[in-house]
Order: sequence, then C-alpha cells, then structure tokens
Amino acid sequence: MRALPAAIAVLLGLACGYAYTRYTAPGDRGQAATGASDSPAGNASADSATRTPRRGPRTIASAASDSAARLRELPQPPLPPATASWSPLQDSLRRRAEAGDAAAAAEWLQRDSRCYSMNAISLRDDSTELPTRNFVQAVSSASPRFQSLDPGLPELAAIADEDERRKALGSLQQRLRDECRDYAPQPPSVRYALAEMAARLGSDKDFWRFINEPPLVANYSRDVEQAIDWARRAPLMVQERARSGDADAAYALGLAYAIDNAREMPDLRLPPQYLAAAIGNDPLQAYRWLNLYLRGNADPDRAAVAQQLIARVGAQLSAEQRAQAQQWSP
Amino acid sequence: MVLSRSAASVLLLAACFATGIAGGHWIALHTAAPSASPANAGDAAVATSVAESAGTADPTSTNTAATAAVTAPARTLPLPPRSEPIAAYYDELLAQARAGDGAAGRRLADDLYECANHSRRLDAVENLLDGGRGRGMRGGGGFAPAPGSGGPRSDGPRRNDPSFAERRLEVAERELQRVQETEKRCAGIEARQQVDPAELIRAAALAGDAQAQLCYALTPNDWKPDVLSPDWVQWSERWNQESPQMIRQAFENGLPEAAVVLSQMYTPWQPRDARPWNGRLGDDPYWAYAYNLVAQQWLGSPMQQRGGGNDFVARTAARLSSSQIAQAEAWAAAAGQRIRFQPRPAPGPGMDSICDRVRRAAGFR
Repeated sequence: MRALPAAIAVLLGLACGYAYTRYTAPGDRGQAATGASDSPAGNASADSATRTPRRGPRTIASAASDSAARLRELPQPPLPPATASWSPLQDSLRRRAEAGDAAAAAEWLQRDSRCYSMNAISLRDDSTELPTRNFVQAVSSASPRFQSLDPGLPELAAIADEDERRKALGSLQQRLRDECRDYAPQPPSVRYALAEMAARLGSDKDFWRFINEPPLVANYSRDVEQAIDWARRAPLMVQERARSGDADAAYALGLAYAIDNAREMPDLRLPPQYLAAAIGNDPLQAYRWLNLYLRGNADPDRAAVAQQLIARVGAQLSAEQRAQAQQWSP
Repeated sequence: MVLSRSAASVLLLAACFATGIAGGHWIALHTAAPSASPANAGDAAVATSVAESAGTADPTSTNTAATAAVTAPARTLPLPPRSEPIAAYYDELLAQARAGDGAAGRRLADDLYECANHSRRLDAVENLLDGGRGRGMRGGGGFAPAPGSGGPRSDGPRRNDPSFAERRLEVAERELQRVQETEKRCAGIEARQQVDPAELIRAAALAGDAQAQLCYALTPNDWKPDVLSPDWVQWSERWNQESPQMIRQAFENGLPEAAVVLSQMYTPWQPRDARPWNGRLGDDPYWAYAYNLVAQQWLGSPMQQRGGGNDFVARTAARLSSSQIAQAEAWAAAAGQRIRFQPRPAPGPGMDSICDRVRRAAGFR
C-alpha cells in the first residue's frame, strides 16, 4: 500500500508528459527547430519583426550574431585528394592554394574557367581557320564568361579595320588554345572548394566573385552538394560582412531581401541575383539594410536602385516600422 | 542534513511524477501517429521498398543472382483521358494519390506541373515569335559564368533565312495551340490547388510508380524551379540521397529507360555529354556495359539511331576482360527474365506531359 502514492504519481506524470508532447502544436516545435538549425540566413529573417512585430532590433542583432556563429560552424567544403591534372601549372597552383595562398586559388579558378570556356568554343568549332566563327561570336557576346577570356579583349574587339581585327583575334585564339591544350574539366568539388577558399581568404574581388558568380553548373545537378552548400554559406558570408560595416554587403543584403530575381524589376537592369534566390523575401529587412546603405557613402547608381526598392518594400510596412527601420543599425 | 519523513515522501512522489513525465514524453514521441501528408506517406513507402531491395537492386557487386523486383502496387482504375479538364477529376485523383496510388499521384503531379508552367510556355511562344531574341523559358536563370552551360549560340546567320523563320513560326503556332489547350484543361485549378506538385511526384515515386521514379530522379529542378532558395535546399538534400535508388527501383519496376540512365550514371562525365547525371555513380565499366546491354535489348534501335550506342559498347567492352563481358551478358539476360519490362510507349498526343517527355528522352544514349 505504501507504493500506491508513488505509482499514482508515476501514472499522473506519464499522462501529463504524454499529453503535453502529443498535443502541443507541432508547428511550434517545427518552427523552433527550423530557426535553430536548418534555416539559412535568408530564412533567419523569419525571426524578423515583419512576421513577429514584438521583436526589436536587439533580436535582429542576436540573430545576426547567430549567423556569424553558424558560418563558423559550417565545415569547409571538402577538397578531394590531388591527382595529376591536365596542367602541371594548375597542379602547382592547387598545392599553393591548399597551403593557404588565396591568390593561387583565384588564379587556378580563372585559368580553369578560361580553359573551360575555350573548350566549350572548340567543341563546336567546324573550321581550322582562326579566328573561328564560334570564337568571334563568343567574344562579341555580352556574356561576362567570354568577356573574361582575356583582359585585352575589349580593345581587340574595338579595332575598326576588319582584317586587322580578325588577325588580332586569331592570334589571341591561338594563344588561348596553346594555354588550354589538353584541358580536362576538374571535378565540381575542386572548383567549388578553391572558390570558397579564395572568397574566405582572398581579396574583395574574390569574395564578390564567389557571391555574384557562384562556381556552379547550370541546372540539374552534377554539383548539387556544392549548390546546397553555397545556398547556405553565401547568405551567412554576406551577413557577416554587412554586420562589420561593409556597405556593399548591406546593399547586397537589402536587394536580396527585396526581390527573388532580377526579372522581377526589369527596369533596374540588374545582373543575375543568386544571393536573392537564396534569401527569402522580407520587406522589413530589405528596408533596414537599404536605408543603412543610403546613410553611408552610396554609389549613385546603386542609390537609385535602393531608392526604388525602398519605395516598393516600404509600401508593405507600417509608418512606425518604416520610422524605426530608418534609424536601425545592426 | 536529515529530511523529515514527510519531506522525503514528498520528494519521492515528485521524483516519481517527474519520471512519469519523462516516460510519457518518450512514449508520445515513439508512438506518434503517422502524418497523412504525401511526403511522409512516401517516406514510409521508400523505407519499405528500400528494405525490400537492399542488397539486390543495388548493383555494387557482380553477383548475377536474380534480384527481387520492387513491384509497384497494382492499379485497377484507369486514369482519366488527358483531354478532360483537370477540375473534373482532381479530387478523385488526389484522394487516390493520398491513399498510396502512385500512378494517380504521378498523373496529378504531371497535370499540376503543366498548369504551373503555363505562363512560362506562353513566354516561350512569345520568344519564338520574337525571333529568339528573348532569354528563353527560364529567363537566364542558370548560373551564367560557371563552366558547364555550353558554348555560344550559333544560329545567328540562320535568322535571316526565310525558311528558318517560317519553320519557327510553325513551331510557335503549334506550341500556342498546345498552350491554349492547357489553358482550358487547367481552368479553375489554381483556386483549389492545395498540393505541391513536387511533393506529389516524390510521393508517387516513393509509392513505387516506375515512371514517377524516373521523373522525380531526373528533373529535380523542374519540380522545384526556385533554385538555391531555402525550400529548394531542403528538397535537393532529400533528392540527392534518394535519386540513385529511385532509378534502380524504376529499373526493377520494368522501365527499360532506367537501364540507359544507370549505364550513363556508371560512365564518367565528359564535356560533350548532354546528360548531367553521367558519372553520378562513378566510373564502373562493368555496370555501364551490363545496363547498356539491357537497354539495347529492350529499347533497341532508337539508341543506335542517335549514334553512339555501338561506339559506347565497343569503348566500354575494351575496358573489360572476356570473363567480365560474359558475366555482364549473363546478368543482363537474367535481368530480362526476372523483370517484366514495359514496352516503349508510342509517341502521340497523349504523350506530352513532363514525365512522358522525361521517359522518352531518357531512352536515348
């Protein structure tokens, strides 16, 4: 009989524990879990005052520092073991990159990208006479991929005399062909890991190249793992920069929170917006970051874009939210 | 410190109560009723089918023993004709899909995909009529500067060719007619659509429908076109884990087109390859050769007409010993006896959905 109260207490506890766990709204638990672990930076804005107006800038700041912590927690993209590639020079650049030389990583990437483009052109060439029709079309196109084949390209393309221009382009194509002889594309994981390394350790240019021109393959998914990593990593990288006062990062974040892709606002003639694709829309966050950008030394062209976007997203906010956002700092 | 007898009893009762709470929490977590969502229903289905096929459908060994086919649940009800408006059968197919009917789920996913892409197809028609100056259906949504997106367009000189312009106009008119038919079929669907076609095709694949398995595994970004978004990340992580097994199950369920895909997945990717899944399962000439034998046996001439079929066989065979070739031939013959392969469907007006197109395209090397 002395055990009866204990047994009753256990049974009551069982009932309470069971009922609490089963009948608490699953959405609440799910959202908490998502916020804590899975959601990328873009989704971190789900915590924002747009959706939960009671939270103020303090919460945003702590969410941002969560982002920094999450970026540090992300493992660096794996780099497969080095094997001899098509080019001893590329192999040497890779060795230097693996030892922490960001400039070598960037050079490896540029050379790989250049030779990949040349390879794509050569695969479709139907003549041996240089410059080939494909090469001329490629270098005349507005595609940054082909424009970056050689820094002197705009100058060559602007030569007025057609014979002279063809001759110059022919010798450029020959030089590029020589450089890229025997080119064999490297696994996407190598290219991605070196690009991430260059972005993390290298110059601002390397950083923004990683953000604005993700080292990924179009469609399907030979590199789905790299694309998933980029979609998680890039927003966190830009957030961390923006928090440290980088105006370009503030602008990029504002843009990304405002739109999903460049086609939404064709009048702005924006380049492709990969960061915007990876970050969910959040008018309040967009309004904050764009206003922050405008309070600094804004580039006039970007300022014009920011103003337009502020007008657009501002219409979705209350006067109070707008007033607070104009004073906001991360 | 010495507790009084009553305080000790209270503490004991509290401890019992706390233990009970913990136990109740544990029981609740481990006896939760399965969700009725298609995705979760699918998880259960894949768990079953993966368990059934473990060590059999996975061709990582050169074992030629017969493997157990993963059979899709038999479907007794015929699917409605494609000419019918979707609203007329939407509820019925959705109920069947939710009850685990993979064919119904695939058909509905197919239909909803078609409706969702209606405006893109209209853009494509406009682009065609505009002389191809636009940016295509995806509006340049790919990753522009990265390697892998092919070379420059080379139809410039043809644009001035009157017959080329005429042909383009014909294509645009045909496509416009299709778009108008789609518009009629999709009338009233947007308002009642409550399911994500992407989750529906995945659930159909997990439920064992062979064509859905191929369709889900080969076109992930068609089902989730918002590439890089948080939603896409979640989708792609699952897809990345599930898709190779899906192709194997499609093969075991009798789609000979899956044999072509598996052969390509065991063949290293090369810049000329139009198939991005090449090399996904590594470089294994034995399995590339063996699956190709099955494909040739059941799909025959179309592979050869496209060229490369015989070249591929010769190239791959050159990397194998004669005993490996004999073993692969025995395995392919056994697979042909073990699996009841479906005949290649005849092209026609009823063969225009995304999954039909995926199946047709997958059958070519």
